[in-house]
Amino acid sequence: MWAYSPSPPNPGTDPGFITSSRDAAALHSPPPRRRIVAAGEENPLGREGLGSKKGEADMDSFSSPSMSSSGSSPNPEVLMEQIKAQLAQAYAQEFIETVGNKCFAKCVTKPGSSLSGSESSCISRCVDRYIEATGIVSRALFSNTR
Amino acid sequence: MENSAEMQRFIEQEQQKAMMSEMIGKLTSVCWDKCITGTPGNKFSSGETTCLTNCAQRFLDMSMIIAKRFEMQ
Repeated sequence: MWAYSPSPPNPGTDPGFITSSRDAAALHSPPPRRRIVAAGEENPLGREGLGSKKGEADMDSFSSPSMSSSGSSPNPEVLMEQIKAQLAQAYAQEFIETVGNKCFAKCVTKPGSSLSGSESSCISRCVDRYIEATGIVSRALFSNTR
Repeated sequence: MENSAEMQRFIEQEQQKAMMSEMIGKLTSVCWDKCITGTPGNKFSSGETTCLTNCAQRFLDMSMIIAKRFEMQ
């Protein structure tokens, strides 16, 4: 579906990890809560995108036959990948929450019975601008500290 | 043990990355509020871009001042 793998901005190389609003939308996953992932899970982001599509029973989607049969301590590489994936997901969720707050404040000044067309287009521009702003701020920070 | 040294390094790296991305997130939020006063358009005006860049760099300057202040107790 999408091959993009979200991760926090890498200081030296990519100033903004989300490069389009479509990436940002694809990162959205229902219930925003931090999850502890069982060890042994392989490639949690996989091809299905972030998190569980079912939006519940998180542990189910993370159980893996190899873990239950091995019984020994989890492979460090797999564990590191899992931790990185969880961190990326947590970062993405927080980012989306921030963008939502900012753009609601800017674009929906008087909530009506539905989102007007101008509000919708404002929101879409706002998300793009916020992503761009994140890139600008990252670049400003890291070109300054060099 | 080799594993835990590698894990240590990994954890430290990830902590660094997490601190960095938290700082970027906070800074973007603060600078957005300071610099983007009107409704977002199809692109940033040059003033807004400059403001965002300045905001980030001045924040760093300020952090240095604060750090120095607390060093010289």
